[in-house]
Amino acid sequence: MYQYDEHDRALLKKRLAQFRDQTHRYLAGGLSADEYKQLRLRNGVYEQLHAPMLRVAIPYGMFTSDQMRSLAKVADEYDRGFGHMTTRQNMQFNWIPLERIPDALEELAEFQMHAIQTSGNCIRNITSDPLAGAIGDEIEDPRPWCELIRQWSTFHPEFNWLPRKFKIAVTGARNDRAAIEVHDIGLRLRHDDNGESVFDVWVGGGLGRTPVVGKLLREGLAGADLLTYLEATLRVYNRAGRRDNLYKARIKILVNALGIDAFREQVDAEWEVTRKTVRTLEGVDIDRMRGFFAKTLEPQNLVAVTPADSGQSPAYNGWLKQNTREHKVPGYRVVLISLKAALRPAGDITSEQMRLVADLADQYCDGDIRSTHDQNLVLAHVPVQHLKALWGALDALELAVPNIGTLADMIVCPGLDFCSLANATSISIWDQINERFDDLDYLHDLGDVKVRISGCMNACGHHHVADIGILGVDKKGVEWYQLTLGGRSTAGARIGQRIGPAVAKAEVAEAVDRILLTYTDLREEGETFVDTLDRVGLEPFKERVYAVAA
Amino acid sequence: MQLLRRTDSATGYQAEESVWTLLGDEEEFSNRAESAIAISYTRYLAEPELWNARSAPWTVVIDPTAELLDVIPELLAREEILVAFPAYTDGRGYSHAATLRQHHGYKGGLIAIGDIRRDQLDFMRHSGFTAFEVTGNDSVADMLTSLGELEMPADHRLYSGAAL
Ligand code: SF4
Repeated sequence: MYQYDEHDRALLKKRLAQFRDQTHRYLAGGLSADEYKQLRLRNGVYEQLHAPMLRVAIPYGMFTSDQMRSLAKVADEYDRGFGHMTTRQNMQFNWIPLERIPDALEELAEFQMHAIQTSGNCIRNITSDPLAGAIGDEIEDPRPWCELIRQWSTFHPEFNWLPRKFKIAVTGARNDRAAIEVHDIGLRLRHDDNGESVFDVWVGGGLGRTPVVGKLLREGLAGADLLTYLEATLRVYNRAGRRDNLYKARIKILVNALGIDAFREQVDAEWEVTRKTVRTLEGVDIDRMRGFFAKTLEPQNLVAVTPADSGQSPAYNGWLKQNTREHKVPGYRVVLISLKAALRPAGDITSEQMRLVADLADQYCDGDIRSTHDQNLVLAHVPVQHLKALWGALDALELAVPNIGTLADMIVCPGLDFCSLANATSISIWDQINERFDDLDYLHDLGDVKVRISGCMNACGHHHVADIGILGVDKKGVEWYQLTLGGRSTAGARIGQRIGPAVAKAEVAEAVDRILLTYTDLREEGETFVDTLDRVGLEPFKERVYAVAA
Repeated sequence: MQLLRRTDSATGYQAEESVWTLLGDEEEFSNRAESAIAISYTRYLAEPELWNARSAPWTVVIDPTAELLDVIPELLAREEILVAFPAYTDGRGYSHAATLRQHHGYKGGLIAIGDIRRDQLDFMRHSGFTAFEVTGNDSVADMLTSLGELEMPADHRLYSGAAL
């Protein structure tokens, strides 16, 4: 884990003092609401339906037990005792009074946490693979590079007022768990023929109103040039991105308007400049950074646990199978902590749970905690002999429901319950689906079917890239839901297709049920949902969903 | 137009009346023939010979839509260049400053004019601006307070703000 040095700490302090002063000026009437809005956004503060929302950055989804405890403290002392994990691996608080936000940020700053650039039209928190450094399909650990990008992008003077927000994701594994193809810039870290670290750069992906899969901008970019190339790309966007229409301001619109080849030419022209003026990364930069993340785990001489471990309770075995993954070092497992227990909105976590996770991380995982794009948590390196105890402790606080990667592991945006932009509720649909599909055996039989729910076209629930996407729409003051099928955010990302007219609120779970029955009826051995959909087409699904109830 | 300009002195900045008179695109300029005038870059490009031949001081105002990758040497010979921020939320001027400084190696003064707000001054300074219009949004004292709020050691690794 990267450790702040004195300069990092000093900078964070200065920023906090600045924001405290800005908030003070606003509350005292010296700063207009409009101007303060722009400033608070860049410090992670939104205006929501009921109260301001504070979005705390968790850089590339990695934090420590101490940081988790400080989040728990903020949840208890400033909010209502819980927080919410976001799809960009951050944590949000929904109920902190504005005038107390600077104090909450000061608590967090003690533990090198902040909310800088978690909103506003600037470069947002960098996201990455939550299983980095632990999983066997990794080519190289992306986190040292993420930290370099974090430092480069934090307070970048030129890019604080972009046409629109800008999201960067990095993966270093064969399986993309960071959804890089649906980001403004997606970086795939790999090794070239000489074993050197290089990046494939994707640009112009994104969801929202105009969902687009990113395009390949450059293959095999040398690691040393990572920042010079990002700087060139951002400069082209900052100059040429549209500013006349909020909905056409993302880089994807610019890339589509110019065409990827013309866009690349502009970037290359700019790159000629930035290569000479922006810092080229030296071996020492990256080596130093790698030092922060290197972790030596001694292989343990234990019989590797298998999910069917005999003599254990079925509940434990079910959890082991569904919620843990093979670690690259024998004798360890990667443990996913489900925040989808159906009792609370997806991704919510109470302060009590936060403290428990922190304690367990200290006990079994060196204090290392991760947050995932799917709104869950990870303990990345758990020695197998502690799994049983860990399971017991998690289970006691409803954190061991064996539903990772199942239908119940939905991404759900806050929707009308919290969000001022919403057309419809999301959480009620999550409840409805959970009620309908409460049979874990059925969920396990379905396999990895992703359901995602957004309360409006902004698509924070990533419904476009779900097997079954659900989008809330407002028709004359009534909530309706549009369904899309066959989206995917992993390599070869694609946008889901609309199945037909929106369904009424009360009918959503029924429609999902019918879609799943169509799949289970028609699937052939080993086929995923998308495989079956691609083979049989949309029609059979459509027929069944819109058939008059028998 | 009043400016807050960087100086070599210990206090760092000083308020002063700018020498530049802004001349609108449609405005006649003969009656101000001897004053130091600033015209839009567009106006300059329409009749470059006219301006190049002018003996009294002149400069240009770069607006957000300007194309600066291929500029003419006369532009870079200006002692100062003005960069316009019609709205503080429009960040193109920062990239124009970076292009002039980094790409063209422009060493003269860069003056940010228009919708200038105290909370952006550090970002402007780090992008290469050396002077800021005092607009009445904020007092000179407040602007001075805000300048340097996010000051970083010059050699601080990768934080881009420290690069300048
Ligand atoms: S998708 Fe819409 S309703 Fe949901 S959080 Fe985003 S903006 Fe709000």
